[in-house]
Amino acid sequence: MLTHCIHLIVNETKYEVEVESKEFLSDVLRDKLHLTGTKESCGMGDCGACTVIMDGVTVTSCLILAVEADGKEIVTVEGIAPGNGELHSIQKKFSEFGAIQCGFCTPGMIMSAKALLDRNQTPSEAEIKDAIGGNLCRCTGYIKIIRAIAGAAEDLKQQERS
Amino acid sequence: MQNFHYYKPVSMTELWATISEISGSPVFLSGGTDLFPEMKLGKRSLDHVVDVKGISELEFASSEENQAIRIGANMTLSNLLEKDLFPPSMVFLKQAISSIGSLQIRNRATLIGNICRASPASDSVPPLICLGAKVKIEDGRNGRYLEVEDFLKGPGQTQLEEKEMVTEVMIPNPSGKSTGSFIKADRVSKDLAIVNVAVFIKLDSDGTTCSDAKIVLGAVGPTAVRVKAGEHLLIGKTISNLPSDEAADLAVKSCRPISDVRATADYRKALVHVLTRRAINNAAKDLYLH
Amino acid sequence: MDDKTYSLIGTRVPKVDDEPKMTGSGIYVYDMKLPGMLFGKVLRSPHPHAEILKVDTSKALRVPGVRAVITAEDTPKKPFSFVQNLADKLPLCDKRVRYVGDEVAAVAAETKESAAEAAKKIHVEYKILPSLDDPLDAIKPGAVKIHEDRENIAFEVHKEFGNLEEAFKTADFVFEDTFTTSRQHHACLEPRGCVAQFDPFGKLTVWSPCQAPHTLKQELSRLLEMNQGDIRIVKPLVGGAFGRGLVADMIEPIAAILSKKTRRPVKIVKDRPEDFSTSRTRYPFIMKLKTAVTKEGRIIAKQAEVIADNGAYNDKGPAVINFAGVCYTTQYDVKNLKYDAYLVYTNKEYGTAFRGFGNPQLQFAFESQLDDIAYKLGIDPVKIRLINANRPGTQTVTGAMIHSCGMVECIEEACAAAKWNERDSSSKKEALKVKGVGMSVVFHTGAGSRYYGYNSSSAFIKVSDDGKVSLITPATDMGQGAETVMAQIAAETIGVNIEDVIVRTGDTDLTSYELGAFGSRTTFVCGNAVKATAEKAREEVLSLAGEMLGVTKEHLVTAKGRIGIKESPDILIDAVPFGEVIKYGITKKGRSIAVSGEYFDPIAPTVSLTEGYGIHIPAWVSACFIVEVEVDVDTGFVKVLNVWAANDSGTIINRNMAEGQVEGGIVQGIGYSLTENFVIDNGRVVTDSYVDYKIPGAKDIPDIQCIFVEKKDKEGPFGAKGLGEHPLVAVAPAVGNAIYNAIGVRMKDLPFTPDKILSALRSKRLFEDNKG
Repeated sequence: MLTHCIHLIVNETKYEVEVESKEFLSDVLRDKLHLTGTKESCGMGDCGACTVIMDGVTVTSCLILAVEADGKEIVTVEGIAPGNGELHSIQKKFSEFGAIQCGFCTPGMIMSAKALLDRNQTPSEAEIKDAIGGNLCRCTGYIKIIRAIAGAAEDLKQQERS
Repeated sequence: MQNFHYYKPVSMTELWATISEISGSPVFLSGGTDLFPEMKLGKRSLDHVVDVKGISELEFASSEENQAIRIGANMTLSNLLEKDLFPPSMVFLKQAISSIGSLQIRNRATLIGNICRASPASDSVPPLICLGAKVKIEDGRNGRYLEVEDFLKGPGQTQLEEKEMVTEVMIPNPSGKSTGSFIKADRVSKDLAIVNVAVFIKLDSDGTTCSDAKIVLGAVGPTAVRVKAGEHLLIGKTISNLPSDEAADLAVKSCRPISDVRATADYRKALVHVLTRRAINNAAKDLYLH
Repeated sequence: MDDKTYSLIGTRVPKVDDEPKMTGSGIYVYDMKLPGMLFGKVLRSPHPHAEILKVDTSKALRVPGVRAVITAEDTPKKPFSFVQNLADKLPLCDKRVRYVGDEVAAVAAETKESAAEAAKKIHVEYKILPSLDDPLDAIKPGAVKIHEDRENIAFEVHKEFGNLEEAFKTADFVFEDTFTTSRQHHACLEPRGCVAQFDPFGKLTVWSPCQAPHTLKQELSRLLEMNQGDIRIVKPLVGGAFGRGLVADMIEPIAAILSKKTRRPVKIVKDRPEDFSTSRTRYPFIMKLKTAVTKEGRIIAKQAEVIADNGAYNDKGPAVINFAGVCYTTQYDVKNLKYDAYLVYTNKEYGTAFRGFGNPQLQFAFESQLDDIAYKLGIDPVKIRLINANRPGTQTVTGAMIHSCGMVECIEEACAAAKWNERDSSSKKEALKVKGVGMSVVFHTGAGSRYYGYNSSSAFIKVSDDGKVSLITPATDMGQGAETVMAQIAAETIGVNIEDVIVRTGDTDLTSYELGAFGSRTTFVCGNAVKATAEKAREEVLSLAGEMLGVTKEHLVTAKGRIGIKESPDILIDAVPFGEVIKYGITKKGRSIAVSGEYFDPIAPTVSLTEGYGIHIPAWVSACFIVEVEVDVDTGFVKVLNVWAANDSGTIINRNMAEGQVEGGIVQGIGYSLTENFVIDNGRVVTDSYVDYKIPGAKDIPDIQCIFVEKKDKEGPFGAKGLGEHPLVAVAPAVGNAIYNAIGVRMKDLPFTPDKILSALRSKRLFEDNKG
């Protein structure tokens, strides 16, 4: 088939979209669902700016056909805040630690951090670097991003205790 | 970019039925992490894409005691790394797999995809060749096994005919005491290899002599390069005194690297020597100490 | 005001613009969608040098969805350059193309795909001309002229001070060395793009990730032959800059012309390979240094000859080779100087501004040579720098006035942190992975340049009856945090919370004239303007408050958005919110608060381009970086383990952001030093992807210790100066010096890729074997 009617579950909302086979998930998220938080910088899976979480793991959405994502649960940067004006711990810590400069890599970084902390609540520095190893940043030099993720891990652990 | 037909069969039967109805050359899609960049760069045009990820029969990774490890086409590299699949003698294959791309790429890419891509710089291929791994080629009627070494013909070229697919990688479990070493030279983390080297050494029953050896080089020839002369040199020598330097000399003689944007041919040769020597010494040390 | 009483200055207050960036709601040019928007695509030359014989757009026009196809015939054909009297570039080439990527034609269509398809169908007939890719070939007599109307030397700088001949004659030692550097690409995560829209009345708006909106406005008026008053530049969020946004990119006039023709907004965004091939790079330099010293290590003469590879067209090249010389001749207060620099055309992707602006290149050369000099004299590299360090309150022979200067303190603190005296300075180290430690000292501008005859700024503040302070500043935020710094300065000065400040920037219809974010000038120049404006606003608020509370201004204090009476038994309880004071003004006094203020640099208009060299820099910043590396002697791979970075940029306004500049600059500097090998082959950029052009990732970074020396500058706002650039500048020479300490080889060509290190080691071993 050349065109498909697919269902994407993005940030817990169900969308029904008509797509051609050749359309990639990053373009559909940005252009059809108007979720421009996910950025595309290279289109080749080299930079990680388009990282989203699909079925629980991070993927570069520029290399996933929209039709491959049919029926999948996808989380983008627009969907990680708990709502009611509250921000996720990762977002809070990114701001607190000064981990954001131009911000273009930030959504991808946050999604990589989220996927890490969802499965590992006490990541070591090496594990954090591994988790964001596929996310390029040209501004920050990564140091504050790594500290922010460690800070978020602490924060989430504390929240769980209380 | 041209649009194409996309199919997603949910069983092997449906897969082959779909394939038989396609006139033209279908492309089998699993991870897509090599396929789509090529498509976007205009290096490949696709007419019929058959997504095999819906086929649960292809999702397996089994390893039973002393049995061969069998990995299905739908196992992502991340899945493989998470499972407790590889015995100690195969840890070097695990290391090679974890050096491929980034976490995001490994969450989609498959081992079979990496093999079928037939990149001369593939990180999984040298260790797989060391272990005598085989791919299972199916066409809906028959299935045959072929050693990975023979399966790869050249850059981007394999023994696959049209409408054939690799459904499984079978890695024999090495008997006796053995280990491997994998070293990759890359410019930064998350890079393609400038050169990679995999070495596999097996000890004889009294644990002092090398009874079998494999030396396989990546990114220095159109396909991975077996250094057979180097392997023969190691066999029969005591593990505490393997002639790694001479074997490395032979490795340099065996390789035919090119100069490209990542490195010059001369530099690659220099690396081949260093990495081969180090890989042999690492493997020997590992066996010697354990 | 005492340091200890600052509520915001010197803190780690979060940036004011974090939320849109981390929630995905922020809009970059990349994200923009306007109703009726078309997509543009540029057709570029595949040849490094060719005559255009014919352009046939007929097939392209027939592609469904195409709304316009333009060539040079649709443009004013008026050559352009950042420095207009050096103009040499047309937005769409007319008769000749001069580099692979040169713009030839463009399409606007309903979808990206149809635009791309149509661009491919434009047929261009070329006559290939011989091309030049080496500046040394381009300056040979008889070399083909890249621009028919001029020589291949596009620009020259010649400066001489003191008596060089005498100095070289009487020196104890004279050292001569040649160093070379490479192109470096900004590789910003946001690919370069723009949106242009003409309204029905002929007014053009361009949205651009630019660093100098007012300059872009002037440039577009020249490119399009329009009145400046009919052009508005809007800068949304910017996905990285580092200098690439200082001069118009040709997609901007192209998008404007397409928009005019189609009467619809047009968006052009480069794809990643196009961005690498055409968004312009750092200028590579060939540098010949001749340095004279006394046997004690005092530098008595410096001479440099620089050949810079301009690429195909003029851009910031003239300013870059000039600025490199200004820093080179001012650092170390040397009395006898000669600087000759040549900017040479080649048929390659041309250059533009990039963090450091010529200083990284020349600093790499000189600081490397200085270490060699130290070793040859038997002097510790630290000592030779302390002997020559610039000191505060001095004026150099180039005319530079060094007001505040913490160079000596930076050296001392970096050495203490890195335990310099405990390092292994032996020349023979036996190990597979050898460690080494090296240093460099940097002198750079912290307040822009007076080179343009203007280095002032202004701002506007209103205080509303809801207590909010609206600040309109032309300070350009490209991610470095300019808006936050301005908000901090305003809030601190007036006495409100930072959350009460609303910052508006990046719109030339709104903001006052401003040169832009470059030369590490924003904190100093724009910050001073904001501070002056905030002081005015505060005074007016206090006047009103005084009337309201029945006291004179001297009895009033402001803090956290409230105004209180000093003598009050409980200031906090009795304090009145700002909003109430403004309400009082509006309802009872017929007044509201709306003020403008400025920072005026009186020296700038008096210094000409040709005279006054060092005086171009209003404030100097210094740094000393010590780097520890580990070299694998068999593979040549170098890993940077530690960086101790001591910086004097005056008072630090925001610690998170200051560290962010240092850390980010260091990592870019590591890329420049080791991995960012930009390759052009037969005119074509080969490294046009993140796969091939390697910028450091999270696993490639060292541990970094940031030290801020904070010698207050008397002119800077709260004593602050800039620090955006020097962290990159300091890295390459320190890495080179560390490699020398580790393995005894002097690397003279950037980047230090593993094959070069291995080659150098082998030559050294061969040399030593032959000697012994």
